[in-house]
Amino acid sequence: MKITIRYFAQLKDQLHRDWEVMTVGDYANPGEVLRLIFPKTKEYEVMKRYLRVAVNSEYARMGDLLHDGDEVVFIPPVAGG
Amino acid sequence: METKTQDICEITTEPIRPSRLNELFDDPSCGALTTFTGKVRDHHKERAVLSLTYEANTPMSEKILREIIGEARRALEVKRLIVVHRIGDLSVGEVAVWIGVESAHRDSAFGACRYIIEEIKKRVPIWKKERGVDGSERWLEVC
Repeated sequence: MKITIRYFAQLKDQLHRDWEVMTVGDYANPGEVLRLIFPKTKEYEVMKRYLRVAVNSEYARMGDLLHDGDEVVFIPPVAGG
Repeated sequence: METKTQDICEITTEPIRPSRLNELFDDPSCGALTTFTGKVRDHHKERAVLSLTYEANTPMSEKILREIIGEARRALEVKRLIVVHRIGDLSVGEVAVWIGVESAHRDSAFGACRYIIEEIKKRVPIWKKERGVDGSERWLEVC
């Protein structure tokens, strides 16, 4: 299934892109998608603790099931206001 | 966007004009209007600041702002709430966020205003990059 991933702020700067479309297996979750973006274990573990995730503009959990067409956003610590 | 209750919450790239927003509160049944103006400060901890660049996941930010004002509305007796957050490049002294709450009495107005800014800082997907006078840049985390 295809999902769209959007990046913002420090994550966008780090990855040098602000969005991409990714093909993932059925029953994928954001944690697995994060692992595809950060394949090195140490970096993945740091990012998993550092980032929150939103799916279709709702905060979600790294283990939540994704569906075809979902938009996933990995959210660095917010700083509004 | 405006709801049936006349509340407004939006993310804008335009300069925020507090005096204009104040004029939108004119309910004669309300004895209290509390506002909060968040501006760009000239320092952060020990560092001199030149400007901030705000970035937002705008659709999600507006959605969460609507949730936050809905929570404030359910918890407190308020008549009208307006929240505007600006994104883009802001210089020292410019307004980044403005909140207005109108209610019959002051307790609700103070309470809702405080609640809204605290929740914005915790939940709304907005980020800011600080540019120091020395030219260096860094993304800030909650403060």
